Amino acid sequence: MPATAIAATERDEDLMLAYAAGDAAAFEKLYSRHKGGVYRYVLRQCGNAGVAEELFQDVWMNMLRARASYAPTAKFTTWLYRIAYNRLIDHWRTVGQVELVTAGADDEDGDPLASIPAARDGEPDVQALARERLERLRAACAALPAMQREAFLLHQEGGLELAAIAELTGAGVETVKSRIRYAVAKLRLELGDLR
Amino acid sequence: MTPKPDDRSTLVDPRVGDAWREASTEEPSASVDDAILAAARREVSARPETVAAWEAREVRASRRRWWPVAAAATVAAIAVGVFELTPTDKVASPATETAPVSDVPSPATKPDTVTAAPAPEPVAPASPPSALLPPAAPRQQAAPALASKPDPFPAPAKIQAENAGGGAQVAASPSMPAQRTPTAAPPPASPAPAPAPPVAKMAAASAVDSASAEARTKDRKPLPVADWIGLIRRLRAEGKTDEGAKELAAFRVAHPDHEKLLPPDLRDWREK
Repeated sequence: MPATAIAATERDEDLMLAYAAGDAAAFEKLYSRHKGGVYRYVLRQCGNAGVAEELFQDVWMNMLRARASYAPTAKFTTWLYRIAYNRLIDHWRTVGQVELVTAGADDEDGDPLASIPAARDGEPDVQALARERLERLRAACAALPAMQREAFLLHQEGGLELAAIAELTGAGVETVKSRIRYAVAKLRLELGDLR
Repeated sequence: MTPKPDDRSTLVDPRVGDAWREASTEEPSASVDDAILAAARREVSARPETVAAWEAREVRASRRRWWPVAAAATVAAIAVGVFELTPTDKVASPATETAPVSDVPSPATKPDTVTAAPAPEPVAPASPPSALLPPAAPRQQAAPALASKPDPFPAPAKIQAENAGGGAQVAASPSMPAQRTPTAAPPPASPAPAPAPPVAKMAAASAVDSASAEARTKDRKPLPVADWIGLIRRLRAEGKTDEGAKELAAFRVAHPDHEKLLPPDLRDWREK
């Protein structure tokens, strides 16, 4: 569930400070707010539910251990997704993949929409069933270049701003913006194809 | 954390955003949720407490801690009390139980003296044993012999039977402390010993002996002359000159013509 769907009456940062001070209930609220986003972020990145659950659990355990070092100088989500991002990097290093380790490997130049092929005409809309649409959207996300997918998921699931994503990934803000645009354009193409 | 609306409207097509939210339904499993939440609680509980939190927890714990201690103390007190009040007939020596029977003199011929007899004064536990017991013989060894020994102060059968009943009544109160025994001394010639702990039984028997000796010299009805003289001689022979002298004094009071009745060896005898 995206963070935007949660009516937050308490700031994440305050809840995290409360938990660091010993309030277990504060953590439960935080977890309830962000577990879906973090899980889907990890799941979309690794593509395997079993591995995703393992990584997801590691992310939260790392967060619990690092709670004492938390300082509300940055947004909580930035801090949380940094932990998740680092865990994914470790995972890929372990399995021999270096997709996200080398920044800029899949950066594209020019207008992101220009490289997207036009929607295929003439195909029936009968396949526009909800489930198939969702599956194809997920598949399209999985097919995105890693850096684009990374930026898109951090933006969409984690709600991180461009600057936070840029800081997290070590890329420039404009680069991040470009990656997100490319990703969205490709997903929109997939949706248009299903019309 | 919600991204700025401007970012979303600029970067993410609303149609893509809506479709993405619709597709974003995956959640971690409940077991993972439970594991993480449990770990979070453990981490919090393991952290160092503040002084205020520690004090509050100690107060709560101390309230809970004294209950088992108080319960255990209560149980122990009840157990000790029950043990103290439990009759110990099975462990008590029959000699100590039967010893008072023979040396408690029979009261006078009036039956009402059995139940209405004034309680003798409490006697110190160190008082000498009964005058009828051989001083050199242990009580446990002397008791069987005394049990078969003829009563020097025979009483009518009816009184003996009543004494037996009254003695049983007095002796049937197992809760009677040893020091209270003299004031509530069982009627003479009571065949039923009081079921009391061995130590208490010994003290009670000793107290009964001494008390009965005093009663003998005070309020007792006159004994037959021959028996009384025999008793005095026996006491003197056993070295119990004090009791012998008391018996002699009582004899003189009971018999104004004691000068004629007493043999020469007792006529001039005075307690040293």
